[in-house]
Amino acid sequence: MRLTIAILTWEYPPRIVGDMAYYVEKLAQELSKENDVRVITCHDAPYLHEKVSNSLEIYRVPNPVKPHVNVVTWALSLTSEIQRIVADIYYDKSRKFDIIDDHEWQFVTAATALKRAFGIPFVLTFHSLESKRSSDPSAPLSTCIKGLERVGAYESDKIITRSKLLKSEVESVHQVPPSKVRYIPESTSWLGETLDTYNQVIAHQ
Amino acid sequence: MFSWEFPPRIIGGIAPHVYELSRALARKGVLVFVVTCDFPGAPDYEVIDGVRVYRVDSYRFPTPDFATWTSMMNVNMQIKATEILANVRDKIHILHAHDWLVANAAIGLKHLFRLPLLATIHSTEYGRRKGIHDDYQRMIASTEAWLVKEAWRIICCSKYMIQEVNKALHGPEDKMDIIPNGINTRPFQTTYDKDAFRTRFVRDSKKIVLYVGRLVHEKGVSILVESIPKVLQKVNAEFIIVGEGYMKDELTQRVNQMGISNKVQMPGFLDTETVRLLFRSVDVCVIPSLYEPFGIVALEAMAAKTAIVTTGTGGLGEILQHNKTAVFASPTAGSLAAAICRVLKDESYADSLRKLAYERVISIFRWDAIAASTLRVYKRIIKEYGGGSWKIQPIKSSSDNHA
Repeated sequence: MRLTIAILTWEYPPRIVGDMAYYVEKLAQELSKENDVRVITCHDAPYLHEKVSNSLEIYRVPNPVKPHVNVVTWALSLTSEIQRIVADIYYDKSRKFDIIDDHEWQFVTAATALKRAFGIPFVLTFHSLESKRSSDPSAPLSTCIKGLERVGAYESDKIITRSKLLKSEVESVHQVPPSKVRYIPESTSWLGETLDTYNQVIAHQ
Repeated sequence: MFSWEFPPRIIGGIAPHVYELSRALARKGVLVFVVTCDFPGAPDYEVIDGVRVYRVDSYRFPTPDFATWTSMMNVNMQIKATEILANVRDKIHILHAHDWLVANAAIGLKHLFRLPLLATIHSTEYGRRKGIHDDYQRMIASTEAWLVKEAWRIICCSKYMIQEVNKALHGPEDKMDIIPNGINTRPFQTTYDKDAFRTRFVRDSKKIVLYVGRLVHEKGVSILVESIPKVLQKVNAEFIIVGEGYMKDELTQRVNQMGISNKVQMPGFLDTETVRLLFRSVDVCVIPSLYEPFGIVALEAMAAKTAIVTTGTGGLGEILQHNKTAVFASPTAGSLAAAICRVLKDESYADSLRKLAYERVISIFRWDAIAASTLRVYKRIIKEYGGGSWKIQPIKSSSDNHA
């Protein structure tokens, strides 16, 4: 079955902060060979819609509020704008998304609200965790980020990790059952396993 | 309706405003859902005089600052509201947000459900801080501007506030409506022994002059203090200055310096009921503000049938009219003293001020009247929304199996 997939990510080339940008780009490109993919991401320039192919479109969204005092206020005002873009695609174009794949904590509340408003199932891909990344995980800003990760961990239908270690960290830090977290290694079956995860979640709707 | 405060959680003026407005709208047959923050002991859901009130977890973990807390609180508010809206989407016509504190949640919901958003701007960061001085304030001002941009229409409490939103947030004047704050006059109508109450503050039959407000520069309280000796040259009066603020020590010192400490009482904060009875018992209430977006204190004085002397600054000049419902004075000690003396010495003039002010407050500033004006704005938006293209259009030709 051909799926319509919304990918939410705060990194996408040419906005490259870490390795995640390349990962999400490869994922979007590979998925778009047999599915319709809409990537919704952010950048520091006016709104930009790029139609890469008939099945791959990138929406780059600026933050509606400037400046920001920290990454949490930055992500959360941007989240409302991400919601606007996905809702506009939904109402005016596709009227259909089969699945949302959100990467990291920045836009988990966009995915959560979209799931609750439209009934679109939601897969969360973690690339790392704040409690492991931060030099002071008990600092107020880190606990806010951890809180947002927790919202995603609970509201998502399935969690994907790219390493076995991260899978167990997600399970222990966010207290989710092992069956909810799927470790998908980089291998030739990587894309198939990712699509399989999407289809499982859709079937459970 | 979205508000970060609602009774029993009362932090500033938005809680009483949303409480009275939502109940008055419900009395007019409007189905009102209020989504607000939790409060110890208050239920997560209750119906208050027909208003459905949902209290959400307001995020109680540590945050670096107030703005970050606001962002986290909005996450919880939006998740809850999404759940409510997904169930009752067909019954909801308008989303109504109060101030930037609920902007993130309300703007996202507007787009998710394609519902028109109305914003009431109670004050601006620019006005509160007398300009924008750092990035933290700039971020809040930017959020306010975003809300103003996203809102279908804006409600402000005075012409003065409309000018402020226009100047500081670039809100176009043609999308703003003036709807003043309201007042519930009933608590000012309880029975009490006026003479006995007066003796709690003043022993003989002297005249009483009242000030209620924060003891800060922009309220003009120091001009009032300077006017006291000039009033005392003509009239045997006593002054009660209610409220707290950073100027309290300075004002006390000045009162002592002028040798009028036996004529001036500064009791600090007093409970609401005592303040209401004071308004009703005194001979004149002075509102000498130098900056005033609205001036709720004027409505309280009017509801209590007190004669008013004021500078008529900002919103005060819109609530009150000189020589009819109040005496206007320039913000100088001499002018203020002359106006106070005029009211204290001419009882029939004072009675006429009281009468006209009371008639005005019950005809224009009753919450039922405020709700009726708000409802007119709702209906205008619903009509414009219905005639526009930004709504949920029927699916034209759909090959998918989406219901």
